Amino acid sequence: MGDYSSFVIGAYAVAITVLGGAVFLWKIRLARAKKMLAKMENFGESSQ
Amino acid sequence: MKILEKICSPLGWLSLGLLGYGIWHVLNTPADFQQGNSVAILFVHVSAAKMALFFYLVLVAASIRYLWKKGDTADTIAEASVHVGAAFSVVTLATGSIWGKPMWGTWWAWDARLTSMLMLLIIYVGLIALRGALEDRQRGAKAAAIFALIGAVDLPLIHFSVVWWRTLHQPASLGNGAPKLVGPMLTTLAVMGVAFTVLGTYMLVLKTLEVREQRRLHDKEEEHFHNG
Repeated sequence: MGDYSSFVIGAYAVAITVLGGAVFLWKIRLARAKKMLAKMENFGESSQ
Repeated sequence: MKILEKICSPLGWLSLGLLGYGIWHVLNTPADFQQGNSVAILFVHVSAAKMALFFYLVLVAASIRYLWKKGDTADTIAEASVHVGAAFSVVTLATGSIWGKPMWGTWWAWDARLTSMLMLLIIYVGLIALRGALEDRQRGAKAAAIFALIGAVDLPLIHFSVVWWRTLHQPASLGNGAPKLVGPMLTTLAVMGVAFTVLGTYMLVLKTLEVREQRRLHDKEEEHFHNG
């Protein structure tokens, strides 16, 4: 029975990077889209 | 969709707490007498695999709903579930490969379970590419829904691959005839399974909101463009 700690750490690092990265990216994209929509709505109101 | 905005943040914190609790369980689970501490990889691998398959079922349900009723919400959920399912498929394949190296002596084998799982990831990526390739949203949604239903053939192939063929991959860890998991390992797998289910739900909610806002933004831009 060997010590496979480096494999375990590697596997958890990959899982955290992929899932955490996806959540981080989607949160940024959502916030950016919301900001742009609010800007466009404000622009639409001020130009009327 | 209002309810999704309300539950999104609490779900995120809940999944983070459950994952922390799950990792605490992993750290306190004894090493397997054959696999040693590499068994810790399987708690993530099995949970991620369940989620990768579960989100394809969500995709199938949303695609049927879209083809039947033409609802925009069903299509938004279908598009979101593809991205979430793809993320879990990557984790499943990567962690399986990392576990395989010390246990099987190889990173990869063209075994029925591994190959059918890789096919699932290819289908998810294909669905993302298909939507991106078709400019008209309705056409893209219809094509993706039909492709998703055809791709569902892969689900029984993945599930029964270890039964139908002699594979390097071991049989199912849970269910009838499965090898018995001892107390602490079963508890850890159950906790990680619940944590991944909550995390997956959170990711689906977050991605659904993101897809909806991106679509609204795209529509607004089109409107501005046409109005000059």
